[in-house]
Amino acid sequence: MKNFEKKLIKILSQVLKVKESKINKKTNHNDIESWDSLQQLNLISALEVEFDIEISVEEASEMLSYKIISQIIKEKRKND
Amino acid sequence: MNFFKTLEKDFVNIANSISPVDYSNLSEKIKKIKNTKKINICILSSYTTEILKDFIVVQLAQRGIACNLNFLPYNYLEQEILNDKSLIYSSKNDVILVLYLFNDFIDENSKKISKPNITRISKSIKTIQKKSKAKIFISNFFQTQFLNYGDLYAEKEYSKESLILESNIKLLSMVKKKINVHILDLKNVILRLGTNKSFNPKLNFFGKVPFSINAQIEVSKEIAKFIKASYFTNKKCLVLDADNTLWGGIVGELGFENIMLSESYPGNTFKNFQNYLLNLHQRGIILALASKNNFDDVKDALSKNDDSILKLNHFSSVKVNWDEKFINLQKISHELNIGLDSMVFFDDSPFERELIKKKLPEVTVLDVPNDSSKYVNIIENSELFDSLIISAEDKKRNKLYSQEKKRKKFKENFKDMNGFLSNLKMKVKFYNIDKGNLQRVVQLLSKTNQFNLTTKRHSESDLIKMFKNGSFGYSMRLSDCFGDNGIVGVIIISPFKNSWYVDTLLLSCRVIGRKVEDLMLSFIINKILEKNNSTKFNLLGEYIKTTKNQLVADFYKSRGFKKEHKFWKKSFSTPVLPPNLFKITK
Repeated sequence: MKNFEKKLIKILSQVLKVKESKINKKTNHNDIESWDSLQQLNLISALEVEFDIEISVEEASEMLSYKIISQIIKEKRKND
Repeated sequence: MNFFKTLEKDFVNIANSISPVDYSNLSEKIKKIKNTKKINICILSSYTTEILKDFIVVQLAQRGIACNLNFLPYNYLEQEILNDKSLIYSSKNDVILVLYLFNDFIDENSKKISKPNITRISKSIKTIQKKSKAKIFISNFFQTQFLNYGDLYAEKEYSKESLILESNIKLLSMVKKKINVHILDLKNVILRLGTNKSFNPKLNFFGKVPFSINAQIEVSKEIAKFIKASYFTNKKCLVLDADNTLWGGIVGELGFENIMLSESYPGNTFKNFQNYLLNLHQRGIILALASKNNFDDVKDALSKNDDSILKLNHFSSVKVNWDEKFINLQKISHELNIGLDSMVFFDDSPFERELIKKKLPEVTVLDVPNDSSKYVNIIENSELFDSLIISAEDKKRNKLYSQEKKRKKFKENFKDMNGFLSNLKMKVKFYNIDKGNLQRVVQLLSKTNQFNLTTKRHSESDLIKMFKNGSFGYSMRLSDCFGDNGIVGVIIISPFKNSWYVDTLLLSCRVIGRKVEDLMLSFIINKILEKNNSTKFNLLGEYIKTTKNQLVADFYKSRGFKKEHKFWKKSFSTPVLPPNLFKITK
């Protein structure tokens, strides 16, 4: 699981262009200035490619915090 | 100078990635590299394009270009254009991208089928051009959704696809009337990738991004290609090997009838390649041949093998011999008067390629694969011959080419040469050689090989010095009923003891055989008589033999000059009548 968290933090930091230390399990899109609707698009694309999953529009509009993102991805990977 | 040399490895790796994360990282790295020159690109679009940012930055850097990207808020295209204070009109902008979608123009409320209003787009562009000097790239129209075959799409008389086609044709004719506006061919990008791969409905509904990740990368690549083509001059000359390049097998061993060049595999791969080369040739790219072979074998393969699309005359320079190729490339460069850095070398032999890389680092050497079916792609993907604007010179080259064809056809109507020549309605104009036209004259002196009696390669300063010491000369323009041939002849004479010496007499090979040489000779003789109040004088001619000017070996002899030591001499006291074929204009 540790690897998963590491990877997710890395992706978030790279897409949102903030330091990894700024991101933790409690991070929410309101905490990070660059996390706007455009970056949300980038983030969804990046998550789909990096985790090889498909994210629905509904899910995409909910994935606005570390917690929900990790929850949705984990669920998808479980189903595989 | 490529600022991004240090990132070469990253560029190789990124080619296999479609992850926005990888692009984002590389984009950050690129930003850290200092550049003296950045191209400012302003993007105006009716959909979300900011998502392309990292892709465009990376694709441009791969092509050696650093950029500043400015994305204007989407959806307000026309308001933005009308706003004087808009960032579009920042004087910094080098390029403005205008990206519309086909659906932008469809009125959802009316049930009528509607299509983009090209006049409205044209007006918008006009408004931009009033206030900005930037180059404008406007995208053409393309499908933004999966094709629906369920309702016999292909049989619909007025399908969306046909409307898109129609709109693109209109867009093209609109753009052609404007200067500095070009079409960004996104339609073709989508076509190449396929509609199934190009769209992502989710991104479109969620964020007004009509492209999938794959398409985002391809679109960015197209944008980068365009910007590169408009800022860098393309290569001018492609130097080709013969065996296993223009055809399969070795002509010296197989004979011209048995080389692989046909409609079936593997000969069809070479034939296809030749077709592509012909296309390059027609676009104004100079083809040259450098082959270690017996000349006659290669000549036979090109002229006697009916499957050979390329003929000897498609090659502006032909070096078929057993010399080292780098020597031949240097000769080609000299002969065609183009720099080694404008040349691209294409040879199936890795050995020859390595040697050229070592000996002539300025020449671009393409990595030619063993599989000849990939030859076309190698050149196409190199983007080396991409050019947005076909230069005036290129255009002219093509024009001259087609004029010459018409002339040849016209010639077939006449039984004898004189009939043909007098019907050509040739007009000439002589120009006293001075500073204004010196450059073109020097160019002709340095390039002309066949009809050139002395082959003296004077420089501009040589000529200025000569003219100070009493020499003078004329360049000559020739036009006929098929068009203007440009400046095609030069004659320069110098005082020599009590005579005049023909220092230079040359004709461009395009106009050989039209008796222009006699016109030039009579013109200069009459000029001298005019200058010296018709006092009798001796004219001295000289033929300096080179490997190429055999054609004019008997020039003076056949005109009644007498040999005296190394010169040919004839005296004149009355004006000489020019051939009755020309109208001399002033």
